[in-house]
Amino acid sequence: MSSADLETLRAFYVGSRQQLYTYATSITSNRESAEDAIHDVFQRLLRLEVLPADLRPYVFRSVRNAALDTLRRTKVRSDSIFDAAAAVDAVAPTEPPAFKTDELAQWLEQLSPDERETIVLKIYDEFTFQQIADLRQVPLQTVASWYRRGLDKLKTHIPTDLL
Amino acid sequence: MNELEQQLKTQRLAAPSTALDQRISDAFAAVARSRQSSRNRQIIWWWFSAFAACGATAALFLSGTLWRHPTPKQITYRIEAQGRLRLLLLEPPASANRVPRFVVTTHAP
Repeated sequence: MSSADLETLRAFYVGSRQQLYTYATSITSNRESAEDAIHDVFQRLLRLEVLPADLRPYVFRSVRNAALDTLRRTKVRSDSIFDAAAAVDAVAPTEPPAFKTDELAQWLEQLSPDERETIVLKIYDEFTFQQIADLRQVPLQTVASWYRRGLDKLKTHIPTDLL
Repeated sequence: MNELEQQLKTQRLAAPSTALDQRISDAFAAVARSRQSSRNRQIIWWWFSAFAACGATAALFLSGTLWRHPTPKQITYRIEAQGRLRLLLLEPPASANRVPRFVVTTHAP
């Protein structure tokens, strides 16, 4: 791998580590396994002669596959993607969220894996429906349907006065 | 983005541990180290090849000059002419001493 590719990959990790971790944790429900999956993917990427042209979808797809692999070996699946210690988001510290993070984590856990993954990719990793469809290799309508159905299920848990 | 999506987005996410950052950083450092050592090996190999090529050329040149077959010494044989050949060489025939023709041309009055 060239020095330029090495720097590109390093910059990509620095810029995407949070998104990759959230995505991997949403699949494994285990932070250690999520980190192992990310580490494995970067180890493999570093062995490539040339980086793929479209790095972001490639790495997210690789992390997904690695997370699904570790999922089979993971015994304990109780970790959520949220930071339980911090209830308030740094972006809007004056406005507390409408529900507790552990409650939200539980509601997310009750969604199907496809619905949960789509919501995480759309809201936290800022993927478009088309990008999710390309990543999952499913039709765009399927992704939109998973997303809508997931949000509808979440809405049923949240008191209407909080929305 | 509707209200629920906004609410979801404001949740603080769990961050990856510093251990993961360290592991990734170590992986990058290992690759950088291996690249450097590979480059050094390559440089050493090129220098070795260059020296070997120079040595081979010099050896070929030296072998060409040292082990060339020596040219044989020139031998000159002097054989004195005898008999008629001697007479012919020492006393050339009268025809060899012929006087050149003298030609005078004049204009008639």
